[in-house]
Amino acid sequence: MSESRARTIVRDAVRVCGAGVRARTASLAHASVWTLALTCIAIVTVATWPSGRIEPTGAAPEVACWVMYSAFAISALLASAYSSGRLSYSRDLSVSEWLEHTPVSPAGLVLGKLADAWFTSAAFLISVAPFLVVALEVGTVGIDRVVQGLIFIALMLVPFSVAGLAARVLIDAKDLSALALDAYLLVVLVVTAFLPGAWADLNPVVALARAIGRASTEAQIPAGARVAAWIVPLASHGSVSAGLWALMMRVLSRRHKGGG
Amino acid sequence: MRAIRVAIAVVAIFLLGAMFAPLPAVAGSSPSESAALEMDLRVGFGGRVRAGSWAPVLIRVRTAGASLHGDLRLTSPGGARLQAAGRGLRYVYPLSLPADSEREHRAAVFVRGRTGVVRASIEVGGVVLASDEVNLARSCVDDALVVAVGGEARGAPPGLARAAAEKSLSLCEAAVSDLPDDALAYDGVRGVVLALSAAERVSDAQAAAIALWVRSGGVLVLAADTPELRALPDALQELSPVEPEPSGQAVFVTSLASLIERYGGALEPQQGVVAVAGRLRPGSIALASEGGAPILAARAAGAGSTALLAFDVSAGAFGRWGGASSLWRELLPEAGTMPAGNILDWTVAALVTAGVRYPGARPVVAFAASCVAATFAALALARRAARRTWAFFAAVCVAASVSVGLGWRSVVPLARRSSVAISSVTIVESQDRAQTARARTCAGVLPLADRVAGLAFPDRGWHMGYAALVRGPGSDGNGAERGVEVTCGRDGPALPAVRLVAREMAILAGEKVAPFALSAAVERTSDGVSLAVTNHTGMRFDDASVVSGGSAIPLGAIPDGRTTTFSVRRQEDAIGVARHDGPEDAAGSARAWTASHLALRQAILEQVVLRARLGPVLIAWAAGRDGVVSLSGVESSRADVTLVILHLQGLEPGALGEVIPG
Repeated sequence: MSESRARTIVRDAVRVCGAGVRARTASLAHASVWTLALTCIAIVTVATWPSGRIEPTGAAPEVACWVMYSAFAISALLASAYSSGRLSYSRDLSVSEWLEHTPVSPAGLVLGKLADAWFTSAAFLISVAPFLVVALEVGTVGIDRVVQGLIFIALMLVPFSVAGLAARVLIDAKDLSALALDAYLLVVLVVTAFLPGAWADLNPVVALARAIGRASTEAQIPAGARVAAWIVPLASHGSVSAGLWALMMRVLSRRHKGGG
Repeated sequence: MRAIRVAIAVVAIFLLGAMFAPLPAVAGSSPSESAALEMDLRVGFGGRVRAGSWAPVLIRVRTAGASLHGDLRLTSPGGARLQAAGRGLRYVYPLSLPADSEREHRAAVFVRGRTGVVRASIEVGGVVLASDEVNLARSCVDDALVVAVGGEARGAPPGLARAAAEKSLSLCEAAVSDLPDDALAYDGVRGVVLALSAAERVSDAQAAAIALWVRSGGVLVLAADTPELRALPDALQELSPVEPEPSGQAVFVTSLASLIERYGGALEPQQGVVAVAGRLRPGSIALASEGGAPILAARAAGAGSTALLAFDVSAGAFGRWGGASSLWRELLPEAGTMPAGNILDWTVAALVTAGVRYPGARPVVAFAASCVAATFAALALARRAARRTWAFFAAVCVAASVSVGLGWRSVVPLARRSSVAISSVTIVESQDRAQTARARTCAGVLPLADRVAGLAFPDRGWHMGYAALVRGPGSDGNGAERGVEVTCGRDGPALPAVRLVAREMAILAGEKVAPFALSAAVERTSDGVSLAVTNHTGMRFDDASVVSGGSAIPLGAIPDGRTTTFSVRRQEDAIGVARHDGPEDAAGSARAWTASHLALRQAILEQVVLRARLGPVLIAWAAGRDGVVSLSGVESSRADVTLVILHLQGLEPGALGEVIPG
């Protein structure tokens, strides 16, 4: 890929991302959805709050766990929802029509949509910060573990965004059943977000190390297992994303060039 | 189109693989022991414990290659109620070990019976790194224990096993390193025979524990000649009936004729031994002497006793002597429980749980609602600047910052203020002396537990409880906001818990008088004692009494905000209370207490008085409306009676009893 082409793709991506964010900012419906999502986090925080309880362990880390995993679940939903929104940001144009009338390369369009979805859903994590701060203080959970968890969530938002975008492209192309992708999203969401949560462990490395049968601390597990603990979920979702990416590009390119 | 369908099929297969990729690994997850971490759990003496007693626990942890920062969790079966609930008592100790190091952790657990498992594990972040467990079914015996401590090659002294069997004592052989450093752990032991070589060292902590146990009724037999005796820590040397010569010289005893004469048995040919050269300490008696040198001596020590066989019992002469078992039969104590002594005069036992009391949900709800509202408002305002890409992110960041600040000022300080190191202390009076002894030692365990200290006295006889607490863990200048809740549970029928919330509390531990806002000092006078009680608790106490030696001396009311002096003359004011010991009687009393609060008070008073083992204590009841007691602005619920027990300052245990016999 030549440098000028790469620059064009990046410029297109920035344009698409900016357009998406601006459209979202202007939408009162979006603000309402965002507030609703945050309300869910608030409800989780209040519901798991150890109100008036004497906690014999001297800490209630489950509060932070629940907030964290709720943030993960909801931000993953938001990421896939944002990226699976209409590509054209227009109710009147289909993706192929929009591509025909808009001087944006397919790669730039895809990258921009992904960046839009990722930044917006990552911003949701910032909105959750107040709840996390309070949960951290009450649950005496180390900030390092939370930062580690947030990085993990941020990385996991990428494949969720890709999956959502693929859903939109393929649904628009009428080449894939939407049901299959919805099922995929649902199962992956449960497996990725709530299964580690069942162990109430904020540290994805430890949780996943345990999940693959290597119960240990970060310092004590072998380096390979430590890397694998991060890699396994990311790679599995990443490879799916790559497959979807290739499919998307093929569909979009064909439509862009051939108009159908 | 066909290519697309093929691609879809490939992707679908890929998706399925990705979906289930983590699952087999999850299904196969199980706690496993890390090769870099080794843990060894030992319970009891030589692997043997006595049912119904406390037993020592020794946990050795060794790290290799990596440091360890986690929790050491010890779980014991606990009492019937805990077992019925499917859980045990948990003791959690913070553990921090550098790489390639080893640490020993000692504790004591109560062994209720032959069922249950003592389990130790090391956990980091909820993940079990290593665990070990001991099944009590294989190590529990009903007989009292006699612990023979010798070198690995020495084993139990000759004749000891036979004598122990004849006395229905269970002999266990233990290494020096296995000896606990907590007197509580010797609960099931009636006798300890220390036959060490000079190279084997008893630590000062171990010696102190043994000394305390001896003074509480244990029987210690030292088998040592001069080097071994002088190698013992001071706490054990002071218990020895014989004080060795400062020069450290020994004396050669040509025969064991005096022992043979006293205990029978033949020793052919006559052989001599090297014995301790020294003199008897005051209060000691020589049971056998050779050439003026005491080779077997004994003395009383508190409620227990110490004997010294002043030579090496592993020497050939003693090993071939046929009268050894007769000697041990005399030295060993009788089977049974520890006698009531006058050393461990603790009155109450404590169920202590460290924890955090969290603020109510109301401020959290307000905080959460504020966060949501701030976010919505910020997003709505950002619509005005919708042409700017950064407007959305700016709105989110501003809303988050405002919300963080809001939470930092409202909920976080609340949570911090409400945190306490000790959340629940149950104080119960014991049924027997041995359990009373446990209580005090357990209170001493408390500071060791950083996060969780769970102690319980689970089985027989814990039928009633007293609130007696006093001073809290740490004052941060916001004492008024800090509260420690004391819950006094009782097992008796239909007896509601007594709850006392105090502003400043501390465990009323042993000889240390609790620096409560209520204090008392006792002074002897010519015809009795003078008792000065200072009460700054903010509440008046009624029906105060001094209890000692099986008698209760009524004092009357203790007003708030000043010091009140009571003069107690001997005998005239003492009241006698009929004794009716035993759990059944106690349960009967418990049923009677529900009749009225006055009857309840009287019954509690009687129970306190009946436990003559109580040191001199001041007991009183909080005055005011029954059902509500508030010392820190937090009202407890449904308190039927609040009893304050104060260990009296300035008196030796039993001293008041001597002045005013019951």
